[in-house]
Amino acid sequence: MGVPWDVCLGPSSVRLRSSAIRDLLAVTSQPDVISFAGGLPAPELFPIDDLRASFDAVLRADGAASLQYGPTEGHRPLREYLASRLSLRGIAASPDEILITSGSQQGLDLLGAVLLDPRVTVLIEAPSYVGALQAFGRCQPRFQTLTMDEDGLCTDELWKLVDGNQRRGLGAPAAPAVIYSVPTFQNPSGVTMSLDRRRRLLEFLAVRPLPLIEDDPYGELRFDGRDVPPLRALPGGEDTIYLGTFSKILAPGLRLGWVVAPRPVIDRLVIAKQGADLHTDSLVQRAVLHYCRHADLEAHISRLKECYRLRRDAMRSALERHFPSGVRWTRPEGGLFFWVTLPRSLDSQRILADAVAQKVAFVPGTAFQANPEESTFRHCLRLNFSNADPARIEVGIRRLAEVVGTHLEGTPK
Amino acid sequence: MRAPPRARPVALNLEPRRERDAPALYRQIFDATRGAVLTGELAAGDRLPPERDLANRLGVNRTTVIRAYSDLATAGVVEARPGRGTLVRAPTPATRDQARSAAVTSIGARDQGPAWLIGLPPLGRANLGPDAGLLSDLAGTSGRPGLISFALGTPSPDVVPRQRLQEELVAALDECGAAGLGYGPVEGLPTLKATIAGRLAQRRVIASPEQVLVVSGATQGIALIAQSLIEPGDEVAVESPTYIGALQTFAAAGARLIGVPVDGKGVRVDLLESVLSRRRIRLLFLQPTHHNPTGTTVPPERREQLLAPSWRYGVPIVEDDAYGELWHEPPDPFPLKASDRHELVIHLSTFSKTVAPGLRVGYVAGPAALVRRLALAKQFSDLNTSALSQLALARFLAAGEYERHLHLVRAIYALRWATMLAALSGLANIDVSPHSKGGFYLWCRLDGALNARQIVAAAARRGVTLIAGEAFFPPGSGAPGDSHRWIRLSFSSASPEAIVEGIARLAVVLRRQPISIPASQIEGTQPLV
Repeated sequence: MGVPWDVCLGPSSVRLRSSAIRDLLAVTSQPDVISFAGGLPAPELFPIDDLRASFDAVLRADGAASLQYGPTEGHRPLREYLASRLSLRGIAASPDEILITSGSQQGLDLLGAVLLDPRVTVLIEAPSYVGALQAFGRCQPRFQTLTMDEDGLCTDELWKLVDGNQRRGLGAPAAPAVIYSVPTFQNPSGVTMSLDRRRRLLEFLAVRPLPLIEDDPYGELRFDGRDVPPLRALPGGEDTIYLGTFSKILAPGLRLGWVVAPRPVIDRLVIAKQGADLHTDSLVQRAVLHYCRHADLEAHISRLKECYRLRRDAMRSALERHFPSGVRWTRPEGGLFFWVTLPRSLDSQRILADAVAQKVAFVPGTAFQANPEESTFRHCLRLNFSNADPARIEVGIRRLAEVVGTHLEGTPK
Repeated sequence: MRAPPRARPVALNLEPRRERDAPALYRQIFDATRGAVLTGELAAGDRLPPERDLANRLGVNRTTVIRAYSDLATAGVVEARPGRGTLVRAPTPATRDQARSAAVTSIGARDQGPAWLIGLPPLGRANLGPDAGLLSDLAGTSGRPGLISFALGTPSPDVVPRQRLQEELVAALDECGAAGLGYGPVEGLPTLKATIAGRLAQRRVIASPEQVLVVSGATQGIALIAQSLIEPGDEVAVESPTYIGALQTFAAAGARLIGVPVDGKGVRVDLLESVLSRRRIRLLFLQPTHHNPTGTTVPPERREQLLAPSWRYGVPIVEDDAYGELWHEPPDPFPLKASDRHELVIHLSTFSKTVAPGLRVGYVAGPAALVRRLALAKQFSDLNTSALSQLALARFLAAGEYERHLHLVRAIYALRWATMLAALSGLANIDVSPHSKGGFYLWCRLDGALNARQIVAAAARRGVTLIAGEAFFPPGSGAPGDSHRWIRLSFSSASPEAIVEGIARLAVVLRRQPISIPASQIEGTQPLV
């Protein structure tokens, strides 16, 4: 008989969402393609010399421990460092309330394992971060989208949803639901939730206690405008869950992130992480801590912000000059992304096919839909501005505008 | 809805043996019942004969039957239900709702959390068994001064090739620059995958680089396999005993674990055949070489016998080969995967035991379709394994350092193995399972009067750590009656001098003599390395 692999692999395939990012990155890795697709930091800014010095120093001074098994919760001094660094952003958390993860993708995956099952509804912004949809999708929850405007997710909808469920007998006060949000420089929209909306969200949670997952990979990359504190730092946010990462402020290849959560949740996450990968790379944890203590992380973040601000400005300027009227885009004050809305008649997935032929790439809006059958964002697209320099941004946006133009005229190549 | 119990109680197929050396009667009843559950003769919900009836039929005292039923209940094989008698339980884990209420209760009792905690789905210590925290607790104890650890399955810190890895890492950053710090391919760095495929070929495993997936330690490999091949409620057959982490990771995926006993040549093929034919097993998890915890290696003739039922019943085998290359005496026992001509075996290994666990690099080699699926699951879990660790290892392997290093550590571990065996041979109340010819562990059975957990606790107070064997047995029907008498001793991380000292401390505990070393002195004792 042998193993019928197609049968073995069959049933669980429905649990895995197809990965738009994965297929795209394959196309865009060719060097002559100008890619606005991936959410990639600028590799030329990685502090290679300082990191190499930190790896070298850690292996020299602390080699045995940095190559040995370590605690599942993470390297204690790194958790202490993160606790003090988070306090600068107004987040009061003890080291015991911090779990080190293998990138914040793992944080999402573990939270899915701990919080979700098919009975749970995930309330999620529309459009939403693809990685979260994928990580949560494994647990087969229901996804319920929340509308966003320029002030972030519309909190009024939360009341309607929960009250509506209650009226229909679908949800007692403790109805299983989880809210997931990227409130600052959201992926993919670039929108930041206003302070007023944040307060309203926390007011809602005070009345209807639900777990809130605040994913904040870009919060420190603000170029202009007034800083808005993380939800976790605001009054009433103490019981929320907060995700952070070194991927966007240092280097994604380090695969180092963290979760801040109430102790009982951390306890569960630790159990889940133990079964997932035992613990995060000991050497990387120590080397990054060494870097943070001995190199100047704040100066590095300032350099990143300066560079990304120029790129954001270059992209905005190119969009204004090259794109036809009737196309709108968001106004990110930080982060990595523009969200572009084309006239409703256009299909960004078809535009992508033509754009790739013209050596420019982006992610079509349908990739960010929580429910694959929806077509809300068929005419939208996400543009990343951090990974190409201003000159390439100018060329790439011009090419893209030409492709969009041909689609508007109804004569796509 | 639980199915109602069958109308007629099932008959137990048992003729009690009464000769002098026969096991106690209650033990015979226990073993016969557990065996029947294991092979599927008894199913969940079946009702055991009433105590009085069975006692009459077997001609034994009623208290003997009561004792056996009580032990079966403690072992999780059966449960007493008021008004319905003694019923066979479903294999572990507990149903989601049971686990949920247990998890919520335990959390509520321990810590006042946010209000939304009530209503969380179950993922807590409750459905991972009593030793859920064991591995992370253990991992956290490494390096505590004064402690001699026979508990940790870690390579000795003094044999980890720190300097070479340092050189390779710095050179890799020089060579690759930014590429070493960006997102990498989900499947792993092409250079490392090619090197692994080449290394596997030397061990007679044919796998192209596309059939290799780099994972963040073997644990992640097990987790991804479980996610991709197991639905909650599916049955996974494992050796009994087996690696604790595998039990936990499969349990977390919702698998029901079916333990198949082992003998001196590995998993018992006769019982395996019976389990596969009677049950709907989705996956077999085996460690054919230098099994953790028993140290057993399946001999060549039994390997063919393992593959045959896997082929016949269409059940894939996960071969965990974490210790495969760490033998004390040649020749290399080639992986089970080397004998696999029908894509039955998913080969899983790690550099954690051979090079350095802190790097968290392992790999899976298997059918291309499976590897593609595992890669997708990995992308959703953590995107990719740390690129720098992969680069350093790839260079370490390519430079031929790996082979030299294996040569060195095999000699070191062989010495420690022999040292620990010799030290234990002087102790009267402990039997060492004689089958270990490689790996990190000795599997030992304590004298009947001793309880492993008590010994472990007493030994820890004397500054020597070990693990009680119960944690290695799948919960429920998989554990033999004497599971509370086994301990696992790791000889990998302590020097020969520390091994002698540690066994001497253990000997004191086993003799139950008063503590002779003051606690303060233990605190200050440095490991003898």
